[in-house]
Amino acid sequence: MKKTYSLILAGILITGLLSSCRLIEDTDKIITPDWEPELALPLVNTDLTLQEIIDFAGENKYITIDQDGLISLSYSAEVVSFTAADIGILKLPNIPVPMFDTAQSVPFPIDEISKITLESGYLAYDIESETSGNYELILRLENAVKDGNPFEAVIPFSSPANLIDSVSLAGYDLIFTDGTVDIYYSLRNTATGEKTPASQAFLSLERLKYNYAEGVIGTYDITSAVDTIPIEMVQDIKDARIALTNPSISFSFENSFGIPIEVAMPTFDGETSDNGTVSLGHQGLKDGIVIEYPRLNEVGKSYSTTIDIHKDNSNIVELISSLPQAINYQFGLTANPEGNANTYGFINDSSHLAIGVDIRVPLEGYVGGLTFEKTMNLDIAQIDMAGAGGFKLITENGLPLDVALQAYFVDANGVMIDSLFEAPETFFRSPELNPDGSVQSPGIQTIEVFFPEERFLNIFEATHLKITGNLATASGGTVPVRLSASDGLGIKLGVTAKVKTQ
Amino acid sequence: MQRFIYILSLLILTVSFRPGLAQQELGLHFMPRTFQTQFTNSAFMQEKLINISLPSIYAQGMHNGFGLGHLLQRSPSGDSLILDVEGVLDRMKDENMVRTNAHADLLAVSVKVGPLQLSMSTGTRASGYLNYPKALPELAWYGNAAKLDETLNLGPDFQFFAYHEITAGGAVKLGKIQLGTRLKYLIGLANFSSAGHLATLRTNSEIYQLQLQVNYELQTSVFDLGNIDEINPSFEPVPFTKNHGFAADLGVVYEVNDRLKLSASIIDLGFINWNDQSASYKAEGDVSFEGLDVAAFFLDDSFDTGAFIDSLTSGISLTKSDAEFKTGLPARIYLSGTFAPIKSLRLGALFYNEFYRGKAYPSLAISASKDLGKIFTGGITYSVRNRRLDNLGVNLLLKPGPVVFFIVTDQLNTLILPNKAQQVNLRLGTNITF
Repeated sequence: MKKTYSLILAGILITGLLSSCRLIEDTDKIITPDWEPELALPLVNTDLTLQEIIDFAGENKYITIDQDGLISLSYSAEVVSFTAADIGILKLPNIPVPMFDTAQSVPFPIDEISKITLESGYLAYDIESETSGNYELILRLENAVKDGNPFEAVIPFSSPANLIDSVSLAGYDLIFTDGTVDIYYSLRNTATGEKTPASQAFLSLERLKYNYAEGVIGTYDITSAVDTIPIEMVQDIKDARIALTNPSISFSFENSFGIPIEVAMPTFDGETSDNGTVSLGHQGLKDGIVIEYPRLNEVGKSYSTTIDIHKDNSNIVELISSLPQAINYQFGLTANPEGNANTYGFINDSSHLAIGVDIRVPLEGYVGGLTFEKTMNLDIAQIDMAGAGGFKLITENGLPLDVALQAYFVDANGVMIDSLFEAPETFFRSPELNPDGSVQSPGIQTIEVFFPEERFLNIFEATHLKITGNLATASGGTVPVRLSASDGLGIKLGVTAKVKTQ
Repeated sequence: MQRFIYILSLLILTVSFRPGLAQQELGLHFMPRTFQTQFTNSAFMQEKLINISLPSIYAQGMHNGFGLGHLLQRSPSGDSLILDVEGVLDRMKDENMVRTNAHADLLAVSVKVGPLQLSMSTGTRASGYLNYPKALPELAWYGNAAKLDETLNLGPDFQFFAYHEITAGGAVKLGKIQLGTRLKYLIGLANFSSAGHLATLRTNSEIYQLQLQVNYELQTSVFDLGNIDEINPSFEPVPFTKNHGFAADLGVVYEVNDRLKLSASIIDLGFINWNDQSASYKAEGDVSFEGLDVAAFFLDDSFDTGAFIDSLTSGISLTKSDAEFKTGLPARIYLSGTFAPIKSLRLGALFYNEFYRGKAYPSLAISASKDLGKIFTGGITYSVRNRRLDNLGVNLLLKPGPVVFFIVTDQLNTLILPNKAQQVNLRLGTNITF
């Protein structure tokens, strides 16, 4: 019994030991399975409103937000400024006065001017005296008055002599009652007081420059050269259907000329991408508009006149919607356009006409068929550890836009290896809109893409990523929408990837 | 008899639903001729007047998650082994436990004086415990993408400690009753344990946002992790430290008649105070990562990596403090009965329960042992523990003269079918009796 028991026990022990040995022996032949844990990580979780973008841009004179939050693109600037010299009003010529007698009257070349205040100017003289003795040359200009006193110059000299010089008339008012300039000269012996005529006398009014003139100013025309404003951003937009439904342009004219001025815009054209032209149709600007001006008792004052151009009085919507790549513009001015002899005005040295433009384009309208394309270098370091993977994108769109995107992986030879989606995928879906085109509630879109391992490996061969897209406002770009500062986007992106550990 | 069967069945069912931790092998309880049986009931008295226990060892290991044979599957061709990770993960429970124990009993002596038995012993104990959630290896193997919208509990609970034990005990026979006690002085050698173990991770299915919640505390003594900002582990054990503790064993045996004995005992009712090079490391807080706010990046025109990392980690506070702490020993109770139909044959039944870290781990065992003369005693035990009904143990004693050699294990089946084993224990020892 004891022997049997011992044998049984020994047998059990030996069997167990043999089993253990075999297990231990085979441990060097262990096949390890592929360990590929799949990690899921959030990458992007962000919200951005148009207000935040605008705030980031800092004080920006090109963007305005009204009290309802509606965003407008705006541009204000003084486009051009004209002075009297620019227009060519009252250019004072030199006035030669050959003195056939000691007193001479000559007509003032600019008739109907009743008064000129000289900023500078000279009475030049060329006097020849043949008698001997000490004399005084006395010059008198009856029209020139300063502080109530007429102009008189006394120049001593010793005769015989040929006197050639000039005397300043700065600060004198030239007052014309009959349109003539009255000049007097005499040579007086200082000892005897006797006056003798010169053997030869020649006077002239030269280099006259006024700082004030009044009277019936004549008609003067000036047309500026055509200037061009390029619009670069439009050059990248192709084949789009865009309509901004409520743009406006305001021209402001600040006039300190004391005379009526007519302003016209013979040219305001947009150049389109197909070398076409769309002209701004506004009858008033075509024909010319007489702007407000200060009257004689308002010297130093200026008047503003504003001309508003909007959808109801022009074809500005058509112009903007043609996506002009440049705007060509030209101004024409006519001073005293009617040449009215009863139009009595003034001009001074600070008189000017400043033309300003204020363009306002509320982001209100629709866009359709706006396509874009961008190719960028792609440098994907081959991630040996990455196996299959995918991404999940959730967009919360508070902008009234549909945006579809497709991305192509392209190799160094320009051959497309793969595309991100089978067909262009709507990344941002337009939200529900209110009747006025503003956003009612955001549109949410979820996109999931999975890359099996073989796709992953293919993509590593790509050297470029070509992104194409299509943007349209709600309903395929047929319904006007409005962009408010509170509109924005939310983007959430998470990725999964199988990690290869062997 | 029917009542006995009913109670036994109930105990089996109860035990089946709890993993057994049994620091001690159960078979030892049924070896009255070994000095070491007193480790299970301080009231057990030896036959011989003088018993000297030479150095003996005990080792135990248990993992209720899976066995080696579940992890290593033979290939269809039979010539290699396949690491069946997914099979093992399917097998795991929500909470899986690993337990190891090692005892090195250096010397023990007992002397009988009349009805009194006095004893002393010294030894070193090392204990390891790890309770890890299934979610932790699953996360490592499958990744978090497989566990969306689930709150994964990742925090393992563990305790590793070692201590010296110096005991003095006594037992007395008073008629049919034997009473015994052992008082233990403990010197903690090292401790590395978790005091709070909350760590959860949740991955949201929306775009895989991550949320990590942590409330974790490590308590260490002698084992040092270094500073919070520069982890630099070091372990320089010394034979004697300032970590003192005390424990007590209490036991009673009642001799119903000359064939039937009933016994009850409680073992290791005690604690150790850890204050020598002791520290507490705490990590507490919540961290969420929901993706980069690229809008802020573009608006600020820069990305501060440091600030970004700070924003992630600032949700969790890390602190280290010098801290004293106390750990209780795993207290155990033994409730048993022994019936000897004939003098050399003993049949026994044992209900064992261990209390550890706030939970109870019961086991049930039955035993039969036979003395073959004075030289040899052999016994077998069958136990239900750790939800397994296949624990077949053996205990052998050989006494050629005053020397006693013994070996005891509760899992003989581990030797036969090691590839399916999930627990094993073994004790070897040599005693000298006079």
